Amino acid sequence: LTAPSLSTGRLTLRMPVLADFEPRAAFYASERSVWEGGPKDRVQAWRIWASEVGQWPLMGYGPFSVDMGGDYVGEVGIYHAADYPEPEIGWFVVPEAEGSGIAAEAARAVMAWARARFGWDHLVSYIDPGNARSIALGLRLGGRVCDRPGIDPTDVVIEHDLRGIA
Amino acid sequence: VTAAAAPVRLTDTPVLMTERLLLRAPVLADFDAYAGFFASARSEAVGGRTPRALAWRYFGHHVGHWALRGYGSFVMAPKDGGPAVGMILAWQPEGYPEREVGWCLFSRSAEGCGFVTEAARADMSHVFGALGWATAVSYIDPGNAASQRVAARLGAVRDPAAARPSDGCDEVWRHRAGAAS
Repeated sequence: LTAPSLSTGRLTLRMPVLADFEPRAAFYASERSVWEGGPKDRVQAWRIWASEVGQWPLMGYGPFSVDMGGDYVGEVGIYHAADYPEPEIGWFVVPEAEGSGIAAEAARAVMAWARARFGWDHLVSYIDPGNARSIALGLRLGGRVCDRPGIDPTDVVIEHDLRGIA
Repeated sequence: VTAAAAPVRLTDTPVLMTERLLLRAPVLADFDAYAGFFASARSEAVGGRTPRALAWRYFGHHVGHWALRGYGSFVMAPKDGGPAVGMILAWQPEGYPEREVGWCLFSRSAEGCGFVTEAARADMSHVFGALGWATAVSYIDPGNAASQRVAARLGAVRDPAAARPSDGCDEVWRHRAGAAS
Protein backbone atom coordinates (compact mmCIF):
# COMPACT_ATOMS: atom_id res chain seq x y z
CA LEU A 1 0.00 0.00 0.00
CA THR A 2 1.04 3.54 -0.63
CA ALA A 3 -0.56 6.78 0.51
CA PRO A 4 -3.51 8.19 -1.39
CA SER A 5 -3.26 11.77 -2.58
CA LEU A 6 -5.40 14.25 -0.61
CA SER A 7 -6.11 17.85 -1.59
CA THR A 8 -7.07 20.80 0.61
CA GLY A 9 -7.41 24.47 -0.25
CA ARG A 10 -3.68 25.10 -0.34
CA LEU A 11 -2.07 21.72 0.09
CA THR A 12 -1.47 18.36 -1.50
CA LEU A 13 -0.83 15.41 0.82
CA ARG A 14 0.97 12.49 -0.84
CA MET A 15 3.19 9.44 -0.39
CA PRO A 16 6.66 10.39 0.87
CA VAL A 17 9.56 10.07 -1.58
CA LEU A 18 13.30 9.81 -1.05
CA ALA A 19 13.96 13.55 -1.52
CA ASP A 20 11.72 14.31 1.47
CA PHE A 21 14.38 12.82 3.72
CA GLU A 22 16.56 15.96 3.58
CA PRO A 23 14.12 18.25 5.44
CA ARG A 24 13.38 15.43 7.90
CA ALA A 25 17.11 14.90 8.53
CA ALA A 26 17.58 18.65 8.97
CA PHE A 27 14.79 18.66 11.55
CA TYR A 28 16.32 15.78 13.52
CA ALA A 29 19.76 17.45 13.36
CA SER A 30 18.36 20.65 14.85
CA GLU A 31 17.31 21.72 18.30
CA ARG A 32 13.73 21.73 17.04
CA SER A 33 13.70 17.94 17.49
CA VAL A 34 14.37 18.11 21.23
CA TRP A 35 10.71 17.30 21.94
CA GLU A 36 10.94 14.16 19.80
CA GLY A 37 14.03 12.61 21.35
CA GLY A 38 16.50 14.57 19.24
CA PRO A 39 18.86 15.82 18.08
CA LYS A 40 19.60 12.69 16.05
CA ASP A 41 22.19 12.03 13.35
CA ARG A 42 21.33 11.13 9.74
CA VAL A 43 21.61 7.37 10.31
CA GLN A 44 19.15 7.47 13.20
CA ALA A 45 16.88 9.94 11.43
CA TRP A 46 16.77 7.75 8.34
CA ARG A 47 15.85 4.66 10.34
CA ILE A 48 13.04 6.45 12.16
CA TRP A 49 11.68 8.09 9.06
CA ALA A 50 11.96 5.03 6.81
CA SER A 51 10.21 2.94 9.46
CA GLU A 52 7.34 5.43 9.44
CA VAL A 53 7.13 5.43 5.65
CA GLY A 54 7.14 1.63 5.92
CA GLN A 55 3.88 1.78 7.83
CA TRP A 56 2.05 2.32 4.54
CA PRO A 57 2.67 -1.16 3.10
CA LEU A 58 2.49 -2.73 6.57
CA MET A 59 -0.65 -1.07 7.96
CA GLY A 60 -2.32 0.97 5.24
CA TYR A 61 -1.73 4.27 7.02
CA GLY A 62 1.29 6.41 7.74
CA PRO A 63 2.88 9.80 7.13
CA PHE A 64 1.84 12.08 4.25
CA SER A 65 4.33 14.51 2.79
CA VAL A 66 2.72 17.92 2.42
CA ASP A 67 3.29 20.09 -0.66
CA MET A 68 2.24 23.69 -1.17
CA GLY A 69 2.65 25.21 -4.63
CA GLY A 70 4.97 22.34 -5.57
CA ASP A 71 7.24 22.78 -2.55
CA TYR A 72 7.63 20.35 0.32
CA VAL A 73 6.45 22.13 3.46
CA GLY A 74 6.10 19.34 6.01
CA GLU A 75 4.71 15.99 7.03
CA VAL A 76 1.42 15.15 8.72
CA GLY A 77 0.08 11.67 9.23
CA ILE A 78 -0.67 8.70 11.40
CA TYR A 79 2.18 7.17 13.35
CA HIS A 80 1.95 3.77 15.00
CA ALA A 81 5.25 2.29 16.14
CA ALA A 82 5.33 -0.85 18.30
CA ASP A 83 5.52 1.14 21.54
CA TYR A 84 2.60 3.45 20.68
CA PRO A 85 -0.57 2.42 22.54
CA GLU A 86 -2.67 3.35 19.51
CA PRO A 87 -2.38 5.22 16.19
CA GLU A 88 -1.24 8.82 16.63
CA ILE A 89 -1.80 11.88 14.46
CA GLY A 90 1.37 13.95 14.33
CA TRP A 91 2.73 16.92 12.41
CA PHE A 92 5.92 18.57 11.26
CA VAL A 93 6.45 21.72 9.20
CA VAL A 94 9.68 23.12 7.76
CA PRO A 95 10.93 26.22 9.63
CA GLU A 96 10.09 28.59 6.75
CA ALA A 97 6.44 27.46 6.78
CA GLU A 98 5.81 27.76 10.50
CA GLY A 99 2.92 29.97 11.54
CA SER A 100 1.05 29.61 8.26
CA GLY A 101 -1.60 27.18 9.45
CA ILE A 102 -0.29 24.38 7.25
CA ALA A 103 -0.13 21.76 9.97
CA ALA A 104 -3.73 22.42 11.05
CA GLU A 105 -5.02 22.36 7.49
CA ALA A 106 -3.21 19.10 6.73
CA ALA A 107 -4.20 17.53 10.06
CA ARG A 108 -7.89 18.20 9.37
CA ALA A 109 -7.51 16.46 6.02
CA VAL A 110 -5.80 13.46 7.60
CA MET A 111 -8.50 13.19 10.29
CA ALA A 112 -11.23 13.27 7.67
CA TRP A 113 -9.44 10.63 5.62
CA ALA A 114 -8.90 8.39 8.65
CA ARG A 115 -12.54 8.69 9.63
CA ALA A 116 -13.72 7.86 6.10
CA ARG A 117 -11.17 5.09 5.52
CA PHE A 118 -11.20 3.28 8.88
CA GLY A 119 -14.28 4.57 10.71
CA TRP A 120 -12.18 5.46 13.76
CA ASP A 121 -14.02 7.56 16.34
CA HIS A 122 -10.89 9.25 17.68
CA LEU A 123 -7.17 9.79 17.17
CA VAL A 124 -4.65 10.78 19.82
CA SER A 125 -1.55 12.98 19.72
CA TYR A 126 1.40 12.18 22.01
CA ILE A 127 3.24 15.40 22.86
CA ASP A 128 6.10 16.19 25.21
CA PRO A 129 4.84 18.49 28.00
CA GLY A 130 7.52 21.03 27.03
CA ASN A 131 6.30 21.32 23.46
CA ALA A 132 3.84 24.16 24.05
CA ARG A 133 3.52 24.99 20.38
CA SER A 134 2.39 21.49 19.45
CA ILE A 135 0.03 21.25 22.41
CA ALA A 136 -1.53 24.56 21.33
CA LEU A 137 -2.07 23.20 17.84
CA GLY A 138 -3.67 20.04 19.20
CA LEU A 139 -6.10 22.14 21.21
CA ARG A 140 -6.74 24.53 18.31
CA LEU A 141 -7.78 21.51 16.24
CA GLY A 142 -10.50 20.85 18.80
CA GLY A 143 -8.64 18.19 20.74
CA ARG A 144 -8.71 17.92 24.49
CA VAL A 145 -6.19 16.61 26.97
CA CYS A 146 -7.24 13.12 28.10
CA ASP A 147 -5.98 10.40 30.41
CA ARG A 148 -5.30 7.72 27.80
CA PRO A 149 -1.79 6.22 28.11
CA GLY A 150 1.11 7.91 26.33
CA ILE A 151 4.31 6.49 24.84
CA ASP A 152 6.15 7.95 27.82
CA PRO A 153 4.33 8.35 31.12
CA THR A 154 4.94 12.10 30.99
CA ASP A 155 3.39 12.60 27.53
CA VAL A 156 0.50 15.00 27.16
CA VAL A 157 -2.12 12.93 25.34
CA ILE A 158 -4.59 14.94 23.30
CA GLU A 159 -7.70 13.18 22.02
CA HIS A 160 -9.33 14.29 18.79
CA ASP A 161 -12.99 13.30 18.47
CA LEU A 162 -13.60 12.24 14.86
CA ARG A 163 -17.28 11.45 15.25
CA GLY A 164 -18.40 14.85 14.04
CA ILE A 165 -16.49 14.42 10.79
CA ALA A 166 -18.72 13.13 8.02
CA VAL B 1 -11.14 17.45 1.43
CA THR B 2 -11.18 15.40 -1.73
CA ALA B 3 -9.42 12.12 -2.35
CA ALA B 4 -7.68 11.91 -5.71
CA ALA B 5 -8.82 9.39 -8.30
CA ALA B 6 -5.79 7.13 -7.90
CA PRO B 7 -6.73 4.43 -5.38
CA VAL B 8 -4.47 3.04 -2.73
CA ARG B 9 -2.64 0.15 -4.40
CA LEU B 10 -0.43 -2.77 -3.54
CA THR B 11 3.26 -2.08 -3.75
CA ASP B 12 4.64 -4.01 -6.69
CA THR B 13 7.52 -5.91 -5.13
CA PRO B 14 9.15 -8.97 -6.70
CA VAL B 15 8.89 -12.48 -5.28
CA LEU B 16 11.87 -14.80 -5.78
CA MET B 17 11.36 -18.56 -5.74
CA THR B 18 13.96 -21.10 -4.78
CA GLU B 19 13.62 -24.84 -4.35
CA ARG B 20 12.24 -24.54 -0.80
CA LEU B 21 11.67 -20.83 -0.18
CA LEU B 22 9.67 -17.83 -1.27
CA LEU B 23 11.62 -14.60 -0.92
CA ARG B 24 9.22 -11.67 -0.61
CA ALA B 25 9.00 -8.19 0.91
CA PRO B 26 8.18 -8.25 4.63
CA VAL B 27 4.56 -8.01 5.78
CA LEU B 28 3.15 -7.23 9.20
CA ALA B 29 2.74 -10.91 10.10
CA ASP B 30 6.53 -11.37 9.84
CA PHE B 31 7.24 -8.95 12.67
CA ASP B 32 6.89 -11.45 15.52
CA ALA B 33 9.53 -13.76 14.04
CA TYR B 34 11.77 -10.76 13.37
CA ALA B 35 11.35 -9.33 16.89
CA GLY B 36 11.95 -12.81 18.31
CA PHE B 37 15.30 -12.91 16.54
CA PHE B 38 16.26 -9.51 17.95
CA ALA B 39 15.16 -10.60 21.42
CA SER B 40 17.48 -13.61 21.26
CA ALA B 41 21.21 -14.04 21.68
CA ARG B 42 21.36 -14.91 17.95
CA SER B 43 21.24 -11.18 17.16
CA GLU B 44 24.69 -10.66 18.70
CA ALA B 45 26.42 -10.30 15.33
CA VAL B 46 24.00 -7.58 14.24
CA GLY B 47 23.94 -5.36 17.32
CA GLY B 48 22.72 -7.66 20.06
CA ARG B 49 19.51 -8.05 22.03
CA THR B 50 17.14 -5.29 21.06
CA PRO B 51 13.87 -4.15 22.67
CA ARG B 52 10.71 -4.78 20.67
CA ALA B 53 10.13 -1.05 20.11
CA LEU B 54 13.54 -0.65 18.44
CA ALA B 55 13.14 -3.93 16.54
CA TRP B 56 9.97 -2.38 15.09
CA ARG B 57 12.03 0.55 13.80
CA TYR B 58 14.50 -1.87 12.19
CA PHE B 59 11.66 -3.89 10.65
CA GLY B 60 9.71 -0.86 9.42
CA HIS B 61 12.95 0.52 8.02
CA HIS B 62 13.21 -2.51 5.71
CA VAL B 63 9.68 -1.93 4.45
CA GLY B 64 10.15 1.82 4.09
CA HIS B 65 13.33 1.14 2.15
CA TRP B 66 11.27 -0.73 -0.46
CA ALA B 67 8.90 2.23 -0.72
CA LEU B 68 11.67 4.85 -0.89
CA ARG B 69 14.33 3.17 -3.02
CA GLY B 70 12.22 0.74 -5.04
CA TYR B 71 14.21 -2.30 -4.00
CA GLY B 72 14.87 -3.89 -0.65
CA SER B 73 15.22 -6.91 1.54
CA PHE B 74 13.28 -10.17 1.54
CA VAL B 75 11.98 -12.45 4.21
CA MET B 76 12.66 -16.16 3.69
CA ALA B 77 9.29 -17.88 3.83
CA PRO B 78 9.12 -21.69 3.60
CA LYS B 79 7.12 -22.74 0.55
CA ASP B 80 5.37 -25.34 2.64
CA GLY B 81 4.03 -22.71 5.05
CA GLY B 82 4.90 -21.60 8.56
CA PRO B 83 6.56 -18.43 9.78
CA ALA B 84 9.47 -16.72 8.05
CA VAL B 85 12.80 -18.36 8.88
CA GLY B 86 15.11 -15.46 8.12
CA MET B 87 15.91 -12.44 6.07
CA ILE B 88 17.95 -11.74 2.96
CA LEU B 89 19.19 -8.18 2.53
CA ALA B 90 19.57 -6.12 -0.62
CA TRP B 91 19.65 -2.53 0.51
CA GLN B 92 21.47 0.72 1.23
CA PRO B 93 20.48 2.44 4.46
CA GLU B 94 21.69 5.97 5.17
CA GLY B 95 25.33 5.80 6.26
CA TYR B 96 26.22 2.80 4.05
CA PRO B 97 28.76 3.83 1.42
CA GLU B 98 27.34 1.27 -1.05
CA ARG B 99 24.68 -1.39 -1.43
CA GLU B 100 24.75 -4.44 0.81
CA VAL B 101 23.59 -8.00 0.41
CA GLY B 102 23.29 -9.99 3.61
CA TRP B 103 21.47 -12.73 5.43
CA CYS B 104 20.30 -13.88 8.83
CA LEU B 105 18.36 -16.85 10.16
CA PHE B 106 15.85 -16.12 12.89
CA SER B 107 16.22 -19.36 14.83
CA ARG B 108 18.66 -22.18 15.38
CA SER B 109 16.12 -24.69 14.11
CA ALA B 110 16.54 -23.29 10.58
CA GLU B 111 20.32 -23.79 10.63
CA GLY B 112 22.30 -26.45 8.86
CA CYS B 113 19.96 -27.15 5.97
CA GLY B 114 21.37 -24.68 3.45
CA PHE B 115 18.58 -22.12 3.55
CA VAL B 116 20.94 -19.15 3.61
CA THR B 117 23.04 -20.26 0.66
CA GLU B 118 19.91 -21.18 -1.31
CA ALA B 119 18.29 -17.81 -0.64
CA ALA B 120 21.47 -15.75 -1.02
CA ARG B 121 22.12 -17.27 -4.47
CA ALA B 122 18.64 -16.17 -5.56
CA ASP B 123 19.35 -12.72 -4.11
CA MET B 124 22.61 -12.50 -6.10
CA SER B 125 20.80 -13.42 -9.30
CA HIS B 126 18.24 -10.76 -8.52
CA VAL B 127 20.62 -7.89 -7.75
CA PHE B 128 23.11 -8.69 -10.52
CA GLY B 129 20.36 -9.64 -12.98
CA ALA B 130 17.07 -7.80 -12.67
CA LEU B 131 18.52 -4.86 -10.72
CA GLY B 132 21.66 -4.64 -12.87
CA TRP B 133 24.13 -4.01 -10.06
CA ALA B 134 27.83 -4.49 -10.92
CA THR B 135 28.90 -5.10 -7.34
CA ALA B 136 27.66 -5.32 -3.78
CA VAL B 137 29.22 -5.81 -0.37
CA SER B 138 28.44 -7.73 2.78
CA TYR B 139 29.34 -6.16 6.12
CA ILE B 140 30.26 -9.06 8.39
CA ASP B 141 31.34 -9.09 12.02
CA PRO B 142 34.98 -10.30 12.16
CA GLY B 143 33.90 -12.96 14.68
CA ASN B 144 31.05 -14.34 12.61
CA ALA B 145 32.69 -17.38 11.03
CA ALA B 146 29.42 -18.87 9.76
CA SER B 147 28.58 -15.75 7.80
CA GLN B 148 32.12 -15.52 6.43
CA ARG B 149 31.77 -19.08 5.11
CA VAL B 150 28.55 -18.15 3.34
CA ALA B 151 30.21 -15.12 1.76
CA ALA B 152 33.15 -17.21 0.56
CA ARG B 153 30.82 -19.88 -0.80
CA LEU B 154 29.03 -17.18 -2.80
CA GLY B 155 32.32 -16.11 -4.37
CA ALA B 156 32.86 -12.96 -2.28
CA VAL B 157 36.34 -11.87 -1.18
CA ARG B 158 37.49 -9.59 1.61
CA ASP B 159 37.94 -5.99 0.47
CA PRO B 160 39.98 -4.21 3.13
CA ALA B 161 40.21 -1.03 1.05
CA ALA B 162 36.44 -0.53 0.85
CA ALA B 163 34.73 2.20 2.84
CA ARG B 164 32.68 1.00 5.79
CA PRO B 165 29.40 2.17 7.28
CA SER B 166 29.75 5.22 9.48
CA ASP B 167 28.53 3.34 12.55
CA GLY B 168 30.28 -0.04 12.22
CA CYS B 169 33.54 -1.95 12.43
CA ASP B 170 32.52 -4.95 10.33
CA GLU B 171 34.74 -6.43 7.63
CA VAL B 172 33.77 -5.74 4.04
CA TRP B 173 33.26 -8.71 1.70
CA ARG B 174 33.00 -7.86 -1.99
CA HIS B 175 30.64 -9.57 -4.43
CA ARG B 176 30.86 -8.95 -8.16
CA ALA B 177 28.39 -9.75 -10.92
CA GLY B 178 29.34 -13.05 -12.51
CA ALA B 179 31.51 -14.22 -9.64
CA ALA B 180 28.81 -16.15 -7.78
CA SER B 181 28.75 -19.90 -8.28
